[in-house]
Amino acid sequence: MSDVLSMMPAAATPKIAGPGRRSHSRMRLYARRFRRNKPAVVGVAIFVLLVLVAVIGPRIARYSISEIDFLALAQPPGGTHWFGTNQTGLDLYAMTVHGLGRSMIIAVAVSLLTLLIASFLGALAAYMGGWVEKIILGVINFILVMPLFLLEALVAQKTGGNWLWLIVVLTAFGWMVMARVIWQLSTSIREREYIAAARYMGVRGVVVVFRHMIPNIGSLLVVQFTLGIVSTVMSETALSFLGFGIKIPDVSLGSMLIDGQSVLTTTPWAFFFPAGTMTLLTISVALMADGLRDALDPNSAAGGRA
Amino acid sequence: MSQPILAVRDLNVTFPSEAGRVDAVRGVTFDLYPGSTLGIVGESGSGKSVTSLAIMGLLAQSAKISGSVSFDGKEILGLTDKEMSSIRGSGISMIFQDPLSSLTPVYTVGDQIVEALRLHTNLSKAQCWERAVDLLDKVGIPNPKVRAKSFPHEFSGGMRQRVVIAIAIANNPKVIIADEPTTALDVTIQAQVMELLAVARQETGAATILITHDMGLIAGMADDVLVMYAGKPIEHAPVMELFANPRMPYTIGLLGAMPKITGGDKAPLIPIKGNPPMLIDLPPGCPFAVRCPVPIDLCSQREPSLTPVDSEFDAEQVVPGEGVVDYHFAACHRSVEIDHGLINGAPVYPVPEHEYHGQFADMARNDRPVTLSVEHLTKTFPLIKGAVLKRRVGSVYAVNDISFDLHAAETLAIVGESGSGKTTSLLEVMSFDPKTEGAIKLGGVDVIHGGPAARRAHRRDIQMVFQDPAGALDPRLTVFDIIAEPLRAFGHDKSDIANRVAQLMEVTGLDPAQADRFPTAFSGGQRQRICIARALAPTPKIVALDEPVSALDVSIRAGVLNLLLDLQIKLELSYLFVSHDLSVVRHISDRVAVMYVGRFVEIGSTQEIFANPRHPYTEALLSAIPVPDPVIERSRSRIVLDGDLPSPTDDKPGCRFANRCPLFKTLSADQRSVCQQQTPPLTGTEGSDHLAACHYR
Repeated sequence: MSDVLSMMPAAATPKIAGPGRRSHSRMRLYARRFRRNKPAVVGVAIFVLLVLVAVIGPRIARYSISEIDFLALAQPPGGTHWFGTNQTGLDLYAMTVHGLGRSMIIAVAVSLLTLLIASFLGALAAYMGGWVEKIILGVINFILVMPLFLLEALVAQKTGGNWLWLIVVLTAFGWMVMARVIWQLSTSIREREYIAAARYMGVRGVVVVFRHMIPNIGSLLVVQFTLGIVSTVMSETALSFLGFGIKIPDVSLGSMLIDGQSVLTTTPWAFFFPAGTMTLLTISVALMADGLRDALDPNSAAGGRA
Repeated sequence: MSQPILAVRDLNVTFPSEAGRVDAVRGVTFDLYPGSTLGIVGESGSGKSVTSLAIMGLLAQSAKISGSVSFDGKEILGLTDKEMSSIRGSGISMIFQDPLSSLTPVYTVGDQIVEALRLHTNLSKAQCWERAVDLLDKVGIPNPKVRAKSFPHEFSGGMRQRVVIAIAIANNPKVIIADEPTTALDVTIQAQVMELLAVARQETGAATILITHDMGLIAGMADDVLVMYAGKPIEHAPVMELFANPRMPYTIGLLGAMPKITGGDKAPLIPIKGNPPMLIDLPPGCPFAVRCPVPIDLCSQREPSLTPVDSEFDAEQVVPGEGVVDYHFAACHRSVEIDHGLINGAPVYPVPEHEYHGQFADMARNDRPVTLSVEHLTKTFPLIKGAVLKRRVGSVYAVNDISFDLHAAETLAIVGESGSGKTTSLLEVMSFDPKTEGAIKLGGVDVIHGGPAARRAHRRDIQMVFQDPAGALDPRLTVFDIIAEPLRAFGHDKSDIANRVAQLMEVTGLDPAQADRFPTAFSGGQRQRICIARALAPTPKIVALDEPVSALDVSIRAGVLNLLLDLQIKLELSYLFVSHDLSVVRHISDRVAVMYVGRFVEIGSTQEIFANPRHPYTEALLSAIPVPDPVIERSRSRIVLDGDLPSPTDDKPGCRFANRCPLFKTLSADQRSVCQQQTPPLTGTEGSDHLAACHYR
């Protein structure tokens, strides 16, 4: 065949666009579909605002999180203490913005680490098949039947409320569900004809995984990552609420909730500011995840509306 | 002359979409008379299914519908869903394409027919059940009393479609709309279902709308034909008139683009250039003008409307049971000039010129080298029982002891119904699996038992093109990366790859300037060309083609088939071609192997097989294919097989075809016992390469 190809006139070798140039029309389509989803745009706006608050908020705070104002115990929101103070005289604004930042860092870090572990093990299981797949799935299923929350609480208790350790604990017990999801997606990609085509062309297995399998579940990984943030905020809050997570002198939204709920009738602001912030955070991320899913999913009805 | 039962006037449907307003149906007008059959034919996206859904009131909320649909004298467009529900099923009923998804898996088929009956009648439950059994009997379900209590998954595809038809005729509808009723079925089953539809029509006296892309079905079933293109009816005439003297270039092209089952040599087909248009923001003028071989200036300025053309129609060819007969509408500015495929004496579509030459073109088959040799290939799948302790209880013989040789520059087609094992054979050849039973020799080297070195060395000699080009191309890679993939795998260097990709795109009729686009930006035909370019990249000697044109529209098919034939001559390729479409097989292949339940039942040269089929199954298969010519289609006798393919689970001795064989029924008891006890070997007369596996032929 090479003879035939070389027999072709020189003029028939036209200019060709190299592999480096990529069309961005797909990204633009996703962006347009995402923008059309009003709740998702609101979600992004709220999330950006919360990030700004978490970054800039502590710098403009008049008090630090451990600074006790003995002259203003259980003050309602007002002039010097914007969100008021709690029973011990701590500034609730300083605590809320610090706690927000802490919760966000934990959520993003845990979600990212979880995703890395899950996609590695999930894709490996799907690609290798056979006994490797059986072992990985066996381990996942075994961990999943254990009372995970109890284990998280016990281990977190031992580490003494350090937020870095909390990240480790939440990651260690949180990757299994996502790994299963990724394994399932990868097995469906594995059956596609372009994978078979690549195999018949003699393409090596590792190349197949990185060139065909991972990119084709990429959009779903983005969605999984976003949803992971919500679930991590929830677990961190729950642990802190039960007293196993972040501990004084550090502050997270969850640890503020446990303080606030006991004095709900006398100083309701001590509960409502952290609770409201946390609700905003989870709702905004959930809205973004929803919008992303619809924008990236070609079959979604919501994304297809003009 | 009676009143039309269904009158559609200027039906328009538009959908909103990402890119803009989609004009899916534009100005459909027709009358349907009691007892007659209207065929609506068109390619995918031509608006034929949307038309039927609009009539049924089943379109999504977002669709905007205008015009008028009157059923039995009453306007039904714009009725509420509740009002439509009383008409759907009892007045107008519908048969969908996929019988698997149109039946609910959790209810028995009897219950589903009873449900349809109880919605529209006041019969008691017991009466309904009786009628359901009666209906199942009518549509040819054996042992209906027992089978009524079966669930849909216990039926085969053809049987399920019979149940769907039973539900459709349960309330004696006046109109039956059949939307691609046999597209998901095999040809022998298709013949059964079409026969049943004709019976159902006589039984109920209902008018039928048959929606299909298959001109052969139209030729056999329809009284009137409406051809649609880009959402618009472009020709409307009685079936005989339409096939004898089409007046719109698109219809002429559609009829000319199909390989003729009666033809045979590898003369190039006449493709329609270009692709069907997107229905978004259609420019003024005729939507077909850009693809039309004979456009004039007026065509791009004003869209022609569907107007009567003078007709020299012979009234004696009229099929009885029809309304108005003497009419012929076409939407073309030049339809008056067009006559029997000629325009001013010259053919509307000039025949493309192909020069076939090459060192193998004139060489006898046996003198050419053997490129692929398959010996006693057998593929079994284990049949496993038990939930915890899995044990093998038997084997499914997907491929059972097949052997064939493929010579250079030759095409061997493997034909058979779904489940016959033809694709499995192909994949087994492609996979080079050392566990395969039998031998696969590429250029004389056994790649199965030759060890990994032999396998690697011969990997590039055989490449594959898949059935569905959309699924075979990674949507996240550009065309350049896709075609370059095998080259990279075989270690070509960078500048070589860039040159070869450009050349391959040129050779397969693609524009190399589009190499940085993603597969989704291409039409189905172009995507298949990308697949072919990728398969040719490592300079293979053999290309395995798994139904390469069955997912493509008719007008696109011709171009891809021409390309395949052209490349075969130029590059001296051997094709291993798998298909169920016998007209395509007849066109492209040199030799044909007919497969039935894992075995070859007949193998020989294409001319021999089509002219003198020896095996009764081959005969039945050939007679089941609809011929796109109403005169032939309505006069020939057809062997309709009853029953379905047997399951390939066990490998008992005896002929697998005996239970459906028309010949078997004529045999004496002694002869029958031979069929049942001895597996017939592939035999032929001395010196002939036409072999058949039948004891009595």
